[in-house]
Amino acid sequence: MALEVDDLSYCFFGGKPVLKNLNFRIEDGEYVALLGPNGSGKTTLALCLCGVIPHYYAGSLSGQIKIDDIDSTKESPSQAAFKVGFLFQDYESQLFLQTLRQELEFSLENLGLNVEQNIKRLDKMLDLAHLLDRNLTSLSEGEKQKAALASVLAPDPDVLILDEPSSQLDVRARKKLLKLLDKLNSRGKTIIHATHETESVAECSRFLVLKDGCLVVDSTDNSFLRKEKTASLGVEPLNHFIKGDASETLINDKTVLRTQDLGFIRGEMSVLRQVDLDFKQGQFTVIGGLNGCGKTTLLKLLIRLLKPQQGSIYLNGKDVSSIKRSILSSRLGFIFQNPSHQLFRNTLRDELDYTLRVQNSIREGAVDQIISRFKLKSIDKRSPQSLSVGEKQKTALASVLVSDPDVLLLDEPLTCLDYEAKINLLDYLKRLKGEGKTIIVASHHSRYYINLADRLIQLKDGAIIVNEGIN
Amino acid sequence: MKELIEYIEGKGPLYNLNPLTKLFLVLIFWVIAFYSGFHILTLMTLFLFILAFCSGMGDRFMKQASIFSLYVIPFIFALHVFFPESYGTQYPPLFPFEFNPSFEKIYSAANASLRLYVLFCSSLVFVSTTNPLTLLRVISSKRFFGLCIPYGVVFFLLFVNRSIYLILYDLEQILDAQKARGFSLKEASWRNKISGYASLLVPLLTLALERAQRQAVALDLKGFRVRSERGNIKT
Repeated sequence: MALEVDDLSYCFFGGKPVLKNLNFRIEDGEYVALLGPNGSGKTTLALCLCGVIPHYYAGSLSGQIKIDDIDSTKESPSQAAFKVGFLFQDYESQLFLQTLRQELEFSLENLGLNVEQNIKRLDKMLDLAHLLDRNLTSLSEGEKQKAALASVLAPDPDVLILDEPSSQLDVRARKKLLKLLDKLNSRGKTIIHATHETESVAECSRFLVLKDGCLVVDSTDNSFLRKEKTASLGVEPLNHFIKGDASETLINDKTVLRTQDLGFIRGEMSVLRQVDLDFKQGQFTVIGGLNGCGKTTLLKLLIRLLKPQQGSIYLNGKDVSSIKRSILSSRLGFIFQNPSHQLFRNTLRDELDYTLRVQNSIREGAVDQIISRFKLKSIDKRSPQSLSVGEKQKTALASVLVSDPDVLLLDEPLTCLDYEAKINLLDYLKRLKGEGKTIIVASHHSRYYINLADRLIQLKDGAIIVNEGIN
Repeated sequence: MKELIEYIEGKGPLYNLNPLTKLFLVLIFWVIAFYSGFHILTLMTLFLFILAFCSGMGDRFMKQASIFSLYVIPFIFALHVFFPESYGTQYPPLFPFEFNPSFEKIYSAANASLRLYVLFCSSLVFVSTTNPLTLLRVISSKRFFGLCIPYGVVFFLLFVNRSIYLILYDLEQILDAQKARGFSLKEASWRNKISGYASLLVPLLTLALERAQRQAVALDLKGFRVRSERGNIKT
């Protein structure tokens, strides 16, 4: 099934053009990587290809998208479900019922397809037998995504569009997903994989790069991904590591934060077991491990968002359970994985002011200082919820740093960011390290911190399996 | 917090009971509650607690019931004691506050609060022990008093159930974010509590609307209601 985009332009109601005169044709069975920085138009193009735009969003669309010579912009998205499947970045929004079997039955019954036959087909294709009757909330991130993918593939579409499918996944789950996509492609499915993780799409048969809504690269050769100049396109070059020098700071011998025999149980599952760690002043620590190994739980215990069932945590020698919440937060800053959950005030300036207010540490000019340091002046009156992902992440960081904490805890800070935003964030972290801050990052993308970190901790099933310095 | 209204699979007589029978029993329970006095209502409350413990949902039920008794019951009680009814009066006062608590008023307030408590607790027992999909399957079938509620309406109820769960998840995340910044609603003064709750509205609404948009798109992409002949949920 060929997919042809002819002079496609789109702009949201009252906004600037997001897509500008795009022209390309994707042949049956191609595996296409759609690359570009945040805001370049990847998701908008994907939404146009599956027919969601223009039917769901107010805006003006010109040009044509032809799927097998039929103009898909004139068809409803429900009709297009037979031809094009779309997996969202937030794949949980695509799951409505309790088990995968119910989810598949729902999609198949909607479209009037044979339930039993199609579930068998999907099981054969994706190996779903062990997932079919499990409660969806009990699945790991990788399994949830597989479930969402299965429900998208239920009507057996010829074209599969995936929007940032691997951003939430750890290395193992990502490898499994890529293998699965290869398998689907070898069975004749056309795949369009939108991402800013170059590593995930290095083996694709074709590369389309969008920048400011324009198609700037259309190539079948992946060698251009290895060149430094791809950075100017906002695309992360393959095997590129951000420069940073661990020896820039002298780590102080003083222990700032210490955990003793820390344990946490959720339900009947032991999430963390006997964690004994100490974090020195000025040290940059990366906590790695697969999804669900206990990284986020450890950070939440450190900031006292969770209460440990076993063991203790000490901040500068004092048990954190005895420290007042506002004082603890002024010493320990925590950045959440999803910055949208962290920002809840009406304006960006109020967001920064709020931190100082609740911590009773209002200082003259502190907010202005942090705004100018993070170059947020032009957007300081805007609602944090209306900002782009990169701006939200920057605001979240500023809202924590405004109180000048000694220790900074970051949970998967690079997840939603494109190459430029990643470089910027890592640059901030490098500067903070230079100022002597203790930084603890939980991430399954440890490679990004390889030149910045002084120490790597690996968790597996809630226990520490690696705890060593990085030279 | 989201676990409070979520159905979690469990073992026990209440979990195994047919959802239609359970729904019928809850409705009877409600009717009795509306026509009963203080003593019967107390017995009903006791019965619900025993039922919850026998069904293996004791801890959860205690948590749910205590949240309700802490936040809603005092409000209802105060409303009955200090704001007298002004039905039928020609010129009802603009702000009918009256500090004149009498035994009758307190008795009537206790009655009303307990009635509401019974209604709430029985609904909780029902929601916590009934798989929503099984329930919706039953009420969309012809067995449900021959009504055969349209599939679209049934799915809407299921969607609302899921959305409440997700909104509570978002709420938990934002409360955690506030705590991480140094503000805990639990520990705050009443004045700060009110401003804290108010500040939750904007992000909650934004996140809920964004998600609703994505879910609507996802439903259409799954071909929801693409065929007009589709009737009842069959899954």
